[in-house]
Amino acid sequence: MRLSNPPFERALRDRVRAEVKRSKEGWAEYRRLRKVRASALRVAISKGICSLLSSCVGLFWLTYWPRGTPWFSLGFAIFGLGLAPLLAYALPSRFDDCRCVLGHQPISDSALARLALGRWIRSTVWFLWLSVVLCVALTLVRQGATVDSATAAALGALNWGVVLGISCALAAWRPGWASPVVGLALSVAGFCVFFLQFAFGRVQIEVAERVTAVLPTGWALHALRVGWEGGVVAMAAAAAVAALPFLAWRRAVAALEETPIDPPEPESPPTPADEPLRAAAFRETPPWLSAGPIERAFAATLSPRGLIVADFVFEGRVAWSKTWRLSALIAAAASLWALALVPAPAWTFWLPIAFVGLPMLGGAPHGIAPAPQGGRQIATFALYPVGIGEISRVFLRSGLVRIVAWAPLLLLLLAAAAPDLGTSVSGALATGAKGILVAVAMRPLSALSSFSMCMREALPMGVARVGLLALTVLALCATVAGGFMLFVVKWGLVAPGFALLLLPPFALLAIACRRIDRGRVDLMRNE
Amino acid sequence: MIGWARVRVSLDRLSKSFGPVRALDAISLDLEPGSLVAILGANGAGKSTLLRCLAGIAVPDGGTIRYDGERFLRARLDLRRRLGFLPDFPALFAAMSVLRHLGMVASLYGADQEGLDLRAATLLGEFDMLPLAEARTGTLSRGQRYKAALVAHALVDPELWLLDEPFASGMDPDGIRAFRSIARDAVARGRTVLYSTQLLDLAERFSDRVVVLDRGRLAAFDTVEALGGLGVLDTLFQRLRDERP
Repeated sequence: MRLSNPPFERALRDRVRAEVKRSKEGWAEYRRLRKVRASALRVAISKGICSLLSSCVGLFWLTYWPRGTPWFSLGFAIFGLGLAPLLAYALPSRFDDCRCVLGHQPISDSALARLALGRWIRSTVWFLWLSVVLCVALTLVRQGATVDSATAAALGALNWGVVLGISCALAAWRPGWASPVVGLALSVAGFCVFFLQFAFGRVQIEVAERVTAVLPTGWALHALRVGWEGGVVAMAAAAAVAALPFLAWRRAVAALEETPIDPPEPESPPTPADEPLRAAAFRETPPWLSAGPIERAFAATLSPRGLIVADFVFEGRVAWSKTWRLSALIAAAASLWALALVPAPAWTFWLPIAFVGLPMLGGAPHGIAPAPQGGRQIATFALYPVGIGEISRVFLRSGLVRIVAWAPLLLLLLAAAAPDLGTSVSGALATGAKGILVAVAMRPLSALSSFSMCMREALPMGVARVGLLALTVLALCATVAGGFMLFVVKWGLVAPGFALLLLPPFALLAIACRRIDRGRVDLMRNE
Repeated sequence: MIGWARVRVSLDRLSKSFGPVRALDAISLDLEPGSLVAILGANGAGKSTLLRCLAGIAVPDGGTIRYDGERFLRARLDLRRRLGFLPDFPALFAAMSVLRHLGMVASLYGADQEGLDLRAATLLGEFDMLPLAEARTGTLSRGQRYKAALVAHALVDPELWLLDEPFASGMDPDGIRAFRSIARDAVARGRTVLYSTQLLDLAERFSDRVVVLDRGRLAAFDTVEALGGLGVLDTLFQRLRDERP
């Protein structure tokens, strides 16, 4: 199904240009508004950066990983398997996009489904395909295989096809277990498996090989490992799985044709129109207040007005206590790993530390999602009579409460890992405490970065704006200097370092809030 | 597609429910080719649902839609090529330029006749969209986006024009004037133009007939003159409001 009409578009473009060129102003405006190429360049750069970053990651593996181990293959196979539910989650949204734009046009639903599938596959090429090809090539090199680049690219393409095939099948058949959370967990698990080779070295190689051979995303790598002759079956099986998109596509089309594309309409209960008002349903206690001890502790720090603002900005979507329990499990497991099981390289602890610490740095249930901190919601906040200062105070308090809640976990983990980190328990605790102080100081910057996503300075470039930028740079320099002082061994520098670290972010946040309140900032920027 | 093709629209006891809400309740009416019809009704009366059913986007629970006597189903691509539906918030591919959008819609409708590019340029000029021809649709304002979709719609010139709230689309006065002009021209060519609106004064002056819906039921379907002349719609809506329980 070809949706473009090049001859018509060429003819129309020539005609339009001839028309607008009649006036100099018209032609200038036309050229100003013609952003297609610039946009394409921007997209290419951003996607190129993704590929570049993945290449850097690959180079990192290439440098540090030992040769001849199958653990990398296993980790990569699990990682690929984890990508499938994530991609499967994206496919229906591609369908929805296409249906939204083209559903009322005279195009058959099967053509629509084909179009959506094509767009979905193309969207994975830049990042996924390049990354997969790169990873496969590197894996082969690390395994000591002598293959040319064309073979590596072909194997990468086959593995990419396998991932897409599984994704398509999951999107079409929609099994209950194939949620994005499962995909994320598998991806993380695959990443963790990379570390296992340091723990087990050349031990348990057979286990890794067997598990790799079982996973479809590992078949292509396994085939090369066992040799071309023995690997034919594995290669054929991988090719069969890669062909699944076509079968799954038919299933998806059938599902599409069965589903009417009625717009979602709210069902009105047969109750009197003023029933919710009389029941004062809108004044009920926000559900998140009763969600867990951390949420309750946070609510206790707020005034009645603060509670209203918190309910407004968080939309009741907080699950800090639940996330804390997960963090506690991770911390406990990592501590046991450090204390009882095997000696592990110190840097392997950065992964659990990151999982435990991210909720402190971010604030969303997943720790890193900025949405409940404002982000693009700032445009929504701007519509209502809620002060930016009120919102900031809620963000800061929520951050402080979470830091207090998560700090013991971080300290526990660091204390347990102290021998592996090559330091004493007290030294590890001191470092952890300093890290917590940094997290406290970064809260205003975290809130500011979330606000800035949809803000734009309304003033044109001039003395005032240059001064503001200079002040910002100075403040950031002071923050860095404060952070440096904090980690210098001399204890006398800790207090002034923390003060220097803390003051500029708070000052910047106060300045930003004041500028917003005085109407110096546009708050409705969408791009 | 530009020519003298005409389509006769017949609805027979068309019904559609959303859960307990009856959006359309046994609507029956016949629309003559070459007529300009305004659909009126309070919020939730079923205007958009009626248009979506006619466009094959919503599936009726009961009743039939016939175009020239042929039963309309979503699978009938041949019939769908004879109609065009413009939602109140038309969705466009954000990365696509206006020009490419026109090319895409022309391809979908199989419009490839001589002089199509000239007509497209003329329409873009009428709606002040020439400077934006190569701009991405994602960068356009709401009114400009609606204009882009409307130009594509007018370019393929289907036999049945279905427009949801074109006068509340964010178009500027020049755009609205241009729309009224091309809609009148289309009707003069035998096209049937069916649009929903909440503007009673405008509907009285810019329509051959009006369809008034009240809680999914057909409350009136006639010319403004037959209903009582200018100002009658205001009275009619007041009466319908008073009759509600």
